[in-house]
Amino acid sequence: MLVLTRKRDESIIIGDDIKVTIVEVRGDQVKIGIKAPRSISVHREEIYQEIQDENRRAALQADAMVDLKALMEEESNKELPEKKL
Amino acid sequence: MHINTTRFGRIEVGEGDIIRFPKGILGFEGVERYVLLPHEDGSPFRFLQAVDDPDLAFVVTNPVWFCPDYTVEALQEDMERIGLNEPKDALILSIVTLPRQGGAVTANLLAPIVINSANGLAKQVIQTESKYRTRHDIKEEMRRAREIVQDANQTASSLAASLRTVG
Repeated sequence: MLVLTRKRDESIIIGDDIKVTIVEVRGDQVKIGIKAPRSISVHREEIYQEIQDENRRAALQADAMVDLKALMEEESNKELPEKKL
Repeated sequence: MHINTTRFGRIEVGEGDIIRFPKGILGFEGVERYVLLPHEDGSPFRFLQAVDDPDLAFVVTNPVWFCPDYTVEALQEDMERIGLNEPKDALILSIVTLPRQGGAVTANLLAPIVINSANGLAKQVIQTESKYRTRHDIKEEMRRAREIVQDANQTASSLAASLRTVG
C-alpha cells in the first residue's frame, strides 16, 4: 500500500479526475473531502461490509421456508395497517 | 426456459421474467440473473431466485406495507446504470433476513434492490448518509406504521414507496 503524509488542506490526486483532500484533523478523526466523477461510487468501508454481511445472512438456509410461514401465521392474527386510498 | 432450484424444483420462466444485476448483489457478485417468484396468495413476500445457482434465493418484499413512508435516495449514476429515467418504472424491494434461531425477521432498508421494470435491469443501491439500517424489525415497523396511518394528516400518496435521485 502506498502511504503518503499530508497536512490539512493538502490533497492527493488519483488518476486524472479523483482528488482527495484532508479537510480537517482533530485528535484521531480525519475529515476527508473527495472529488470524483459521478461514475465513481464512494462509500464508507464499514457500510459496504455491513451490507455484504447482511446479504450473506439473508441468503436462504435450507430450513428458511418454515420460518417464513410461521411468521405469516403469527402476523395474520394481527391487524395489518389500513391503507387509505 | 427452465431453471433448476433447490426449493421450488424445476420451474418454467420466460426470458422476459429475468432480472439482471450487471454488478450482482453485494457478496454474490458473480451471480447476475434472477427471477421473482411468488410466496403464497396474499403474502407480501416474494422470492428472488438465482437463475444460475439453484441454492441461492432471497426473501424480498416491497417495504411499503410495513414502512409506508419509505423513501429511497438513489444516486443519479446508479439509476443511469440500470437505464432508469422514470421513477414510476422502479420496483423497490428490500431483502428480508430470517432469524437463524429465534429473533426478529428483519428487512434491509439501507440497501434496497431497485429494478427497472421497463428493461429488467437491477441494482442493489447503497444509500449514503441514510437514516435506514440493514436490519429493521418488520413487526416493530408495522407497529410504527399503524401510528402513521392513524395520523389524519397522512396523505394517500405517501403510501407508495418513493424514489428520489440525488447527487
